Amino acid sequence: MSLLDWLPWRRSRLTGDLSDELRAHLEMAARDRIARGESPMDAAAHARREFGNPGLVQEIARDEWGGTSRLIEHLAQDIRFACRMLRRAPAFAMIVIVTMALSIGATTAIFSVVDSVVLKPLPYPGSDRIVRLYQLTDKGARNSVSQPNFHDWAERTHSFSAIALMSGWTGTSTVETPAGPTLARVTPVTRDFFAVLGVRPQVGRLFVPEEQRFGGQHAAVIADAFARDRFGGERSAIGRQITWGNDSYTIVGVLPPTADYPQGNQVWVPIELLPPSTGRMSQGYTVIARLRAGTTLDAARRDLSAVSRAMKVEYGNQTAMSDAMLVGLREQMVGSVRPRLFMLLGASAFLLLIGLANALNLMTTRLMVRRSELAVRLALGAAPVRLVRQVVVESSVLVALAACAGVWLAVVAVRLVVAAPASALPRAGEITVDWQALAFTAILAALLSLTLGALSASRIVRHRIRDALTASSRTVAASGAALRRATVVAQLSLTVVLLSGAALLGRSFLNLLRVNPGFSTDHVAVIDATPTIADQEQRLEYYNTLIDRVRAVPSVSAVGAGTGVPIANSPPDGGYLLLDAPTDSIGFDAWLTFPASRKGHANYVVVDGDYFRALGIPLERGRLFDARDGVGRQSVAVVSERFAAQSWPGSNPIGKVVAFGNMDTDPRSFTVIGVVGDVHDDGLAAPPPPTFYAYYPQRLRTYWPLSLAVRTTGDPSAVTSSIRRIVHDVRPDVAVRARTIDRVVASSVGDQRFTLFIIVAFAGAALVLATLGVYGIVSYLVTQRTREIGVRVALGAQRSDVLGLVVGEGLRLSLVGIAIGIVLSLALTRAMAALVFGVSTTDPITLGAVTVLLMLVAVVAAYVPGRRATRLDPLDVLRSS
Amino acid sequence: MARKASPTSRIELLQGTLDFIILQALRWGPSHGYGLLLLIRAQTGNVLQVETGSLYPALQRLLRQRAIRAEWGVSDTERRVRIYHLTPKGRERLAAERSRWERMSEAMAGLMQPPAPEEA
Repeated sequence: MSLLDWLPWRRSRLTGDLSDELRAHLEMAARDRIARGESPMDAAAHARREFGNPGLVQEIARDEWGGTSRLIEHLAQDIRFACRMLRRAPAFAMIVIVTMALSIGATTAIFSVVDSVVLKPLPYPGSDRIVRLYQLTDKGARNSVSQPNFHDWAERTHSFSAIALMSGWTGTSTVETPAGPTLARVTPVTRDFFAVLGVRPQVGRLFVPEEQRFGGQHAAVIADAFARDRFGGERSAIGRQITWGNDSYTIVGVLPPTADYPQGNQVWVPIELLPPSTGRMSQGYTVIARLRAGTTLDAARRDLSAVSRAMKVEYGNQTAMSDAMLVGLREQMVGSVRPRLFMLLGASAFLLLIGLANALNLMTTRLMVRRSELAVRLALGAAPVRLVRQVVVESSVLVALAACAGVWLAVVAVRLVVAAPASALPRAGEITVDWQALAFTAILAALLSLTLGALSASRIVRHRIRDALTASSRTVAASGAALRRATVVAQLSLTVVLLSGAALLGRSFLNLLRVNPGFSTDHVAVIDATPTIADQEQRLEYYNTLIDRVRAVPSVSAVGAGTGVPIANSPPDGGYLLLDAPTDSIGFDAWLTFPASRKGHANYVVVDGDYFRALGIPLERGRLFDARDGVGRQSVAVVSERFAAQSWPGSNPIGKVVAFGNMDTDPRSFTVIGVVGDVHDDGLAAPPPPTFYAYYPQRLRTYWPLSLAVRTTGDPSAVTSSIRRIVHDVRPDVAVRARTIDRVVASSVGDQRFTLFIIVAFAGAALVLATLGVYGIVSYLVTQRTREIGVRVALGAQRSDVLGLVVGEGLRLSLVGIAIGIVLSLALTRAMAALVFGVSTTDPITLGAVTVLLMLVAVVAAYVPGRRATRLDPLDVLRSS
Repeated sequence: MARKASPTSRIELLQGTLDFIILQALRWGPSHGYGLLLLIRAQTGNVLQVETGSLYPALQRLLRQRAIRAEWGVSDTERRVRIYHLTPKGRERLAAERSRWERMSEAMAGLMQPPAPEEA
């Protein structure tokens, strides 16, 4: 007997059409009787009598096939029956399906995000061997890399099959294309960059040696999306020209859409075409490498560290690097969002459990309602096993429907998350609800339906429903309520955890918004309009013309420009020296001989115009840049309070002299003329970095483009169109990007806002379900104790006594749930330490508020059915039973 | 529990015997269910009354065990009927059952005779 024979259709071929066969038997028997002389009518009747019940014979005969096949048959029957039952109770079915679908959907969506962003390898071959390298300072801080250090690494390490350096600048710059100027992310990369990633172009080729030397052929490789946007297709882009900086580049290749590194980059050019950066202190570059086959991460780390420490010995103070380290590229890209996403995954799991508890509650209520139906079926000979299976099938049908709806919800939600600019997730483009997420949901659904079915069915097994026919409802209630009580307690305790998580994140977010950023977060427009002008004087004139003309726009009150705008565009950073007197040429040996107490590290911003007034950065001491500080005069500087405090603690910084390390190959020192307030440049949650401001007309050689900060009296977005016109008027080949500072600040906390939004939604849903749970159990208890309440009232109990009895029951349960929940919260929210800001994860006020809120909700949820109990007429109650 | 009350228990009592009877009857040639009934009745001189409620389940059982096979055919009276054949496996089984039955009836016969002293 092969396994296949158990399939229903195969089997029917084997057993044949039994009823047809039996009919033939009857006919032949009757025919024989007629032949023996009976009348046709008698013959048929006698034949049938002799035969017995054909239906029964057929069924018994079929039963011979036993086991599996009958199971399949019964299963189909059970599913049909379950659908019928659910159609008969549409409200029940809807509520269970919707609540389960929401929690399954949330879990699936977040699993998809976690899977795509954190768990999946990067879309490059052997991507687990791609690493990012960092210089370490003597204090162990991670730094970007300088070109000379990179070259030494490349020569002296043995752990990498390919190692590449690229510009660390993540801003956009103007690129002229045949379709007009645009702002694009352009990254100069060294020769082996594509070998490190293992990327091949989908059209065209990568760079050839002729394009990878100073003064060689200018070539560019572009991203798939950029090719389609600007050239109408991958193939039509090949051979076309783009202009970046002051040079024209020929497009030689288009990368596939998966090649998205650095994230969002649009154009790659050979860094070898640009003048090399020779300063060992001139950091700011990013280095990635591919581990040689068979080399472990640890071995590579040791190799790199040994080489770097030897370099420190060799170069001494010429390098700011004391050691070096490396991390997996994926780790580096997604490490920062991992705790956030795992927290959300945990929260969705809790929501799922709460939804399950809710469904369980409803199921048991349903079973109580159907008590007599089940009892009758049992009395008529249905096997208890069959009834249990029926319940399990019913819950499976519910969960299956909910899972389908949930997957649909997840697909919609994931699409929203990816589209939301505020979510700012790394690898956002890779997020999909794929088959892994579907498998996850399927396993989840299977577990859920088994749990739900088993728990509800356990009630049938434990208290033989047969008893329900004879026993009064009170005895059944007493036994059934334990499971329901436990369910409600579990629901409440999980809700406490979600609510405290949400409350902690909410308070963190408020704390974040309450941080004084050190600059105006409204009425400022940030304009990026970088020209491709080689001549430094012309560039200054461009910016000055722009500043003057924008200042003339009505409702504009101040205009400035800077190589950094707080939070919007981060400035470069570097090391500096504290000098005793101004000098025009700080010698390189000064970097070697200066003691650590006279050196420092800070952000370096070159500003022009009314930069500080436009951004509302307050002057604390001294003065700002003005007409006295013209081109060619003694370089002056303004420093932030933190810079002053770290450089000259306790003494007046005005008049002090600073040499800033090789930011623009200009060896002249600066004299400090003013001190301004600190600015939270690295985001609101991070402490403000020490910042050094130089004056653009005096430091024309700066590499970095300037952005305009425009202060307006009215809505800043109202002036952007006038500014665009002005820029176009001054230089038609410059692309303009306009933002308002409030948007920039809002999107800088987009991560936190996104997390908060989701967890608040979860906590809200949990609260509603918990309320329903408390309401459900109290109403249930009231119904079950109707008789008792009637007796009490008849014996003279007051309404308040009855109310106290019922509400007290609800409150007792809630207290147990909340107490367990607080213990759970204290244990679990500790994992959120990295996500909270300005509040302790065991903050008593937060937990207290959550407790009070849940108690209030529990009281209300218990009060409603409680009041119904007080309205009971004792006579009615006693008569009816 | 539900099974105990059903007629299947009666079949179980007869099972081995009935299966053997059917296989034995089919040894004479293929037959349909009704034909088997008549054949068994005739061959046992109306001693064994096989009920349809036992016959058809037994046929299904033997089918499942591949001791017999069935195909649709036409009866002498031009009726579409299901005809059962003995399979090689059925023949083997019949041989085994037969020796078992012979031993059994010998044993039964032995039991019926008065015991010989000091021999058993």
